[in-house]
Amino acid sequence: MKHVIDFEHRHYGHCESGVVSALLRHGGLDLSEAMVFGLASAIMFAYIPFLRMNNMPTISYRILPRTIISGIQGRLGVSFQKRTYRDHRRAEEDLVDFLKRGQVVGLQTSAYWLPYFPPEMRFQFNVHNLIVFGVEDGEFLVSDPVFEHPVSIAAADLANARFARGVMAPRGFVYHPERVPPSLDLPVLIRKAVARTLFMMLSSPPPFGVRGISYLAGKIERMGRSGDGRYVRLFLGHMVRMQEEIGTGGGGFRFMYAAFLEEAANLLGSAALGEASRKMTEAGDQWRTFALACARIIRKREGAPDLKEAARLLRRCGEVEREAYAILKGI
Amino acid sequence: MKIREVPQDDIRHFRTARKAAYAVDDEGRYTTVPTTGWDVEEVILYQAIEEFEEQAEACRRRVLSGEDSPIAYFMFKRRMDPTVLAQAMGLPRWRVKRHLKGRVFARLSERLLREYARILRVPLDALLPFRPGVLDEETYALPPGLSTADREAEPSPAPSPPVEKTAGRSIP
Repeated sequence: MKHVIDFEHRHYGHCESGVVSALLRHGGLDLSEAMVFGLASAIMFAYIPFLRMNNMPTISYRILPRTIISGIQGRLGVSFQKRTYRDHRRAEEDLVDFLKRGQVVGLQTSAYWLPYFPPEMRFQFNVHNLIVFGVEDGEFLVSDPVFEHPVSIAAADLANARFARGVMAPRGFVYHPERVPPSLDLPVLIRKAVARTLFMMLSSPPPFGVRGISYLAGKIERMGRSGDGRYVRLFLGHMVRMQEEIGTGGGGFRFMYAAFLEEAANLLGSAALGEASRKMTEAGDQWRTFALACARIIRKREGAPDLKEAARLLRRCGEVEREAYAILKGI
Repeated sequence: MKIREVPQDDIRHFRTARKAAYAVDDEGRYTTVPTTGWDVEEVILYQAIEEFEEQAEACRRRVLSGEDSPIAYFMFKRRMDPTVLAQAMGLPRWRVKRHLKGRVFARLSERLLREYARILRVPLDALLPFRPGVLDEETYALPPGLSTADREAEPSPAPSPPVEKTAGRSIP
């Protein structure tokens, strides 16, 4: 059995936006990853203490998993065919069927079960997205957007990855764009998407949006009083992991969003968007500075960490971001 | 972040893989740049791993004394806690917590043992009898197709531009 679709692999910053961008391009609609990310209004900040993963509160720099797909669907009028399964045999038959018909598809998988991931990174993380573009001798050909090149994976491993249990279990989730509009009124769509982001980042109550950032900064400052240096270090490590490690293109998606604003500025010929892009880059740099400060605190291992400084840097992230959104209000 | 500021720290767990970072070129235009990693990522990942390794080592001794079940040891080695393991097993947490006790483990059904072995990615005969050494036999090399460096060792049609290494590491 061999069905391999001619598909161009590209290297992206993030899995979900990368998969959506690649699937749309294959379907005849060429949008960059940053454009997909921006149009889905995917940038966010959320600190949800009562929703715990691996014994740590949820900290997110983007909207919920799968919502980039649904966001793009709503915004662009692209209809995605989506499906989940109960039975992994059925899911695999369908996957082969898709490939037979020449259809590349996106899959939701668990990083824990992907053998090509470095073993250090195989945590129970159920929302990794990848593309399957072929099957050959019982192996599926995978275009994983956060890796530089395509790779193959045994059918059994892919089945495990698609049917991992737990938080946000994929249940074999498979998707592909069905109807792609021939042309888009990008200026209008960009304005809508930006307006939605402004609403989410500026009008959300803490612990969401920019208010959430300063709220968390205060929380970190107060952690210093408890004197549990070990927990504080684990917490900061967890936060930076969400920001840098899980494939954000750097700076907790802020650089990717700045890239979207830059592209939008060129399309609309808007100087304000260009300025907002530069401001957002500054915000990303600020987040990187914060991450570096956290890593230094963690590296030291002992003693009371200087949380005042970390909190100050974090507040600054929120302030710079707020300035960027303030500029965006004017477009 | 400017292109020349993108860290190229050759971090341990990336091996020869690279990921894509967004950065601006000299004219201020955005592009993606392959990076061999940032020291910060290495520090925070190994912090999390060490945490699990400490628990695993303490647990290994308790397994040998019969207090804990081998499942507990492999759980930590696979970077899970009882909550996450219970979710991965699709069982209530109180049941999984019981199964982490040596006494209860001894009476587990073969069906459950097999499922634990699958979820923990170890052979059944590493749980019973307990063979922690089975993990030392695991080897990993980044699949050659995933690394540009490896690909270029053979003649390749599309080499990507060489990336300058950063002079100093990000964290001294």
